[in-house]
Amino acid sequence: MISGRVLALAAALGAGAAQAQSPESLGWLRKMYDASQKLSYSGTFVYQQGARSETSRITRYGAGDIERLEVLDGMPREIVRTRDTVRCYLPNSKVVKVENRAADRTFPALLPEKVGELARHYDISLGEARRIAGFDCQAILLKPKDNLRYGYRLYADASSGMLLKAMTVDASGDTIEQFSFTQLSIGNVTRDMVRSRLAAEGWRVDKAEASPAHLTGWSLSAELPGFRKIMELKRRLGESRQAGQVVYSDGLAAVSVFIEPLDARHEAVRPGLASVGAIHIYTREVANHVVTVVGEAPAASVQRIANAVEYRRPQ
Amino acid sequence: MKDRISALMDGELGDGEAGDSIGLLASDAQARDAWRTYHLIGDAMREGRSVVAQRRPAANAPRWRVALPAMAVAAAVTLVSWVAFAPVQQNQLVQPAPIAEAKPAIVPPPRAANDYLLAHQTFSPRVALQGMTAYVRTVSDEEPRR
Repeated sequence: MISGRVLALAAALGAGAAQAQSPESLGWLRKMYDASQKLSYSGTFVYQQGARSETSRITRYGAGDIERLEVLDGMPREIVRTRDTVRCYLPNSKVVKVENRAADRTFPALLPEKVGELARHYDISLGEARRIAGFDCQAILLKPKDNLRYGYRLYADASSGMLLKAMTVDASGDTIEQFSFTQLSIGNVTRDMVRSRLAAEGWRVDKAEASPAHLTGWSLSAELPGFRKIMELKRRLGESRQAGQVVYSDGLAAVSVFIEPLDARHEAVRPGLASVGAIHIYTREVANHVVTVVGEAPAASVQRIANAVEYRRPQ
Repeated sequence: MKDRISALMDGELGDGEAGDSIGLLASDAQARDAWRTYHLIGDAMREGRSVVAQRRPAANAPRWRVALPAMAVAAAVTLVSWVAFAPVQQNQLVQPAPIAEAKPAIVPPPRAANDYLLAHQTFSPRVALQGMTAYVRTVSDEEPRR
């Protein structure tokens, strides 16, 4: 009877130990989510990847939930995101790419209450306090529990929760990608500041027209541990290519599988692995289709998902 | 001795006996082996498949030997929580063995990489955390690819 109590106490303490890493650091992650959803701000940030770095300006109009990102180096490219769409303006090719966001409205992995699930795949802890772009920041560290995902070192403004700096770290501890604000002002944003500066008249408009759908016959022979299917849709890619897209996520990292009929392709397929910063792209052919797997995950993870893609003719 | 370990696991011991058994766990390697083995058996039965083989490496990890003498001087309650927690921790230590993939050919990003990145980014939870800064990858590099 007494020993039962001892064991119950032990179990409770054991459970406490399992979560000991979390409550405060999870609170910080929630605070960051909230800040990214609610704040109005305008600032300049540098994106660094390998030897390359690029400066951009970002403005968020909180009241209308509209964000505008403008690349300041080289050709002036822009992305404007509203509640319903993401518009990417590419002046070089005079194209506007439009992604509709209706499909991600019920997106399960985006909800702040899911933050706790991250603790299944990452050890989440608080790091050092540090001043960035004039803001006193708190570091939040996400260390992966396996080698299937990257680690992250995030710095959030101690008072607002705004993310000032984000580093993606590989298994050997090297930073493979970094976003860092060099200047930021919170508040004082008007609707006009998030309008595109580019006159897109006469530009070609590529609409994704994505809608949730079941991709009959397609599946993974083995899922990647911790990555769940969160979205499956049919859409257009580029000018007119029809494609299926399936998204897998562990709550933070995501991997998309794109499936396109081979005969709709204009360019030859080059099977293999490519990388863009922390993102890997793996291409292969399956059953007369091109399978392109894109994800912010280590190469081996992206490749494993790609090699697990299979097609079975429906009976 | 093994009977007592088993009884301790099942919560069948009285106060004093439980304390003695915990002391035994702290001081006796055989007792710890028994404790570990019973938990593995219990887990295997609950999961309906043999997890014993997979777990053995984790169970033999040196942390047991290092950690236990230190725990022996800790209060009994702490010790109980630690040993009760140990099987859970073992569970977490078992990581999927990385399956060796064939080394892929390294190719330049597809010409339509921006299309894939934009389509992917829209659904990445990362964007919810850090706002649109993540999208900068999408608009990077437009020129060099032409």
